[in-house]
Amino acid sequence: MSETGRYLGVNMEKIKKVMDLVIPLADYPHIPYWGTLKEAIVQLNVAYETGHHTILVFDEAYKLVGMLLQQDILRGLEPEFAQHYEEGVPIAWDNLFKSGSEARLSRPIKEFMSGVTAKLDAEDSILKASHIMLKNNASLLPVMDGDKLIGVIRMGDLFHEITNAVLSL
Amino acid sequence: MPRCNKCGKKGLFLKIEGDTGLCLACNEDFAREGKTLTQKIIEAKNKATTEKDPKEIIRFCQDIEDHGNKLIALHQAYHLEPSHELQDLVKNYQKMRELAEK
Repeated sequence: MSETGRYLGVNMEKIKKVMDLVIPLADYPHIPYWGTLKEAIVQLNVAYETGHHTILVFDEAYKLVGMLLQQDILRGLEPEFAQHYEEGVPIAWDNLFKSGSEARLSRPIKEFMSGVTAKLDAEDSILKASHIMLKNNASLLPVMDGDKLIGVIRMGDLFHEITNAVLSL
Repeated sequence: MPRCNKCGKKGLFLKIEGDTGLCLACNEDFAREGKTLTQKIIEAKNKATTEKDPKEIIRFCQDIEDHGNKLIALHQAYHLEPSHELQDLVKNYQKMRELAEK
């Protein structure tokens, strides 16, 4: 049993590796970094029915450069003055979307997307993956096989695998 | 002395993009053409994912292959290595089209 496995009391041989939970990039909706917030919302609404809550962002060389999460989109929709609510600025929340919403919807997503903060190796254990995700506050991370990007892994899938392994002890 | 990988221009004060090894003019040309092709690939990819009609799926897969191969050729013309993401996408949708055609 490995150090991490011994700590958690889990037999690591029974635990899956990152490669077992990889989701191919093609399963997710894609968007270029110059796409608008409105285009991202449309894509995410379509993807919502298939259970995906993230859009992958690509550059002009078709290289993954980031991800657009639901919270990124909501942050993009907020008027700037809403950020001063905690400082005591009164906000008419009910009228929030009426002011300048069209201008906000046409802003490029590169202003709101989350960059790739970390990468996982396909051979990593799911416990290591969970640790890296928590450390980077990420819900989705790219998975590499050597220097090749093979897909992404979701926090939800890691949670399911790890908690099931712990319960079956 | 810095030298552009595409046009061969060189000069002590020539600015070369670190990622691509291209001078600013060539880099802009690559980005402009790359953006057009990437936009077309992504539009076809997102449509292929949600489309139900097999004939339309085949058409979108073919679009991804065509534009993807053009983007790979563009990389080669600028002496750049195409990303794994791009190469895998073209291969995957080629397989999907072949399966849908059977």
